Amino acid sequence: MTATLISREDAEFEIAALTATSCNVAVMEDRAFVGREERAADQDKWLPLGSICLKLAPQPAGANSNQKHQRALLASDGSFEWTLPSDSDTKMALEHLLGDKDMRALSRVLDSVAEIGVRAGLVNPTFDPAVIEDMPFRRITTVVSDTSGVLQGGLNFIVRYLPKARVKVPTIVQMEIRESSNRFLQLRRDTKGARRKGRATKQLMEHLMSQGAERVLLRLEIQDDVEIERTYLLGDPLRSAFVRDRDKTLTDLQLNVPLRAYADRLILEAARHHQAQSEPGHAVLLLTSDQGLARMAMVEGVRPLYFRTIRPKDVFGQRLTGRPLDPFAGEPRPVSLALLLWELATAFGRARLESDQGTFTVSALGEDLLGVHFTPSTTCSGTRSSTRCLHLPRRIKIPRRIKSPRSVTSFST
Amino acid sequence: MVQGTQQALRLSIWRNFSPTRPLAMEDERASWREVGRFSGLQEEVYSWSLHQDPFGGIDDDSVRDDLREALLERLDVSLPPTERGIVVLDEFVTKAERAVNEGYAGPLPSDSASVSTHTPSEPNPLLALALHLKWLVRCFGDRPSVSVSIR
Repeated sequence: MTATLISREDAEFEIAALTATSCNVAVMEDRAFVGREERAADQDKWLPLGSICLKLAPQPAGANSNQKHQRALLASDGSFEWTLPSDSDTKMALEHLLGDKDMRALSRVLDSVAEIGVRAGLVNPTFDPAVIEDMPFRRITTVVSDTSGVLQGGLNFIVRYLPKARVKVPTIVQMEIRESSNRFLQLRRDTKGARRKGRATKQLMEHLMSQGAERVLLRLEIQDDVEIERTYLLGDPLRSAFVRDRDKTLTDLQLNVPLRAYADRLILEAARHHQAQSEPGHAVLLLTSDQGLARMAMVEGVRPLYFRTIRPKDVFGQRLTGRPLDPFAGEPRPVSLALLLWELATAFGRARLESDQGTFTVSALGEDLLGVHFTPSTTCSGTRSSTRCLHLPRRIKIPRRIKSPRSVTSFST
Repeated sequence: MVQGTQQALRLSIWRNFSPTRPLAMEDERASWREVGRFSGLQEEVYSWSLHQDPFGGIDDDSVRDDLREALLERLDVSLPPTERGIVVLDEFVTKAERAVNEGYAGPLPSDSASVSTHTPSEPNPLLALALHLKWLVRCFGDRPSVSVSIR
């Protein structure tokens, strides 16, 4: 049976149909975990990411108890707890799935998986204490983000908790993310190098980074209450001076030395340009987890909003709640279970919830569809197995000035 | 149980006060003295209020009392700053996480009003508090001379 998913609420209602209060959560990258040759034979290579438990409050006597509606409400309202496996267990599982024993590479994968928890809003990024002292901003403040700010959840934190922040994403950041996305798709299409050592790990890393970062930008775009300013690309006329030059007679000028920090320079220039155009007293901050860029910004008169990259142990082995507290207002800020699953699915390709009563799979990337599947298990009370696929169009085009209804776009994209 | 807009507790983080201009203050003997960089004064750098009772979902009285003491009494503002460092907050987080993992902490009981308006009660206020305090420990833990108070 196939149906079309039109809203996040639909997904929450389908999650509620699983009926169990506790489900195992797992993710899959269909090329990295399952090689091209093995795909037909072995589809069941999932990375376990612990269990999610819906928290039902004790009901007073006489309360109306429509269990499915109640569970859908809980999924929507973040009334769940997510217990993650330890970082060592996850690393071992990754080693097995990727067939890679390079511990440094696996640690980088683990870092990227931990960042999903920050982007989803379940864990906060670790800011410099001096930065927190100035939060929440009392006046309108422009935050210019670099790529690490987008990818590692710093930007999500700013948007989520600091209403007086105006966000500015320099075009070069969007280009870097686009470039990463192209690399991911190239690897995905390339069949020749599929068996190379470390290829599966590289494939997974590119998937996690490019799709996770694209998701952040898309989420900002469809969020009604976020003010984003766009910058034009500051094309530097000196750029050609730094490209690789094979002229051997001009070696003294060092023209063949590529400028590695060129992207950083463009990001900083975007911040400086905005600062120059702003009224005196208007704060412009540069959001980054790159110490080098933060120091360069300080030297050049732009205040950095520095945060540390999340460590895997801050996420793995922890119990997280879907109702984290606002770090400034003290109120709970719910994270929908459907949105969490969608974050995992965009980062890996597929995410699933599994209980003894059924399986709910979200697919964000695949050869045949982009959508949500609901597959009751065949062992479930002996009933006929059926598959429900909730299809989504591959890309929903959102006109820049006409906002689609939030319920339609926020989950599906 | 405290819910809604009522303030259940107020947490403050303090650091040594370092005046940018010379200051003077009157002491107990009514004489004026200058306040310098190492005067022992502290200034608040972060404050945060919680509007729900974090201990409302704990069903074991001894666990609840132990946690309440670890948070409210050991971080009372009347204690000297050296006795209520960020380490004390970290110890509370460890205790709170243990209570959550051992199943002592659960949801706040719903009242009839919240059910009729389809508003779920807080599923685990102690866990939410522990995670927030853990973030503060991560952010301020490396900083010397930081103290914490709970009112």
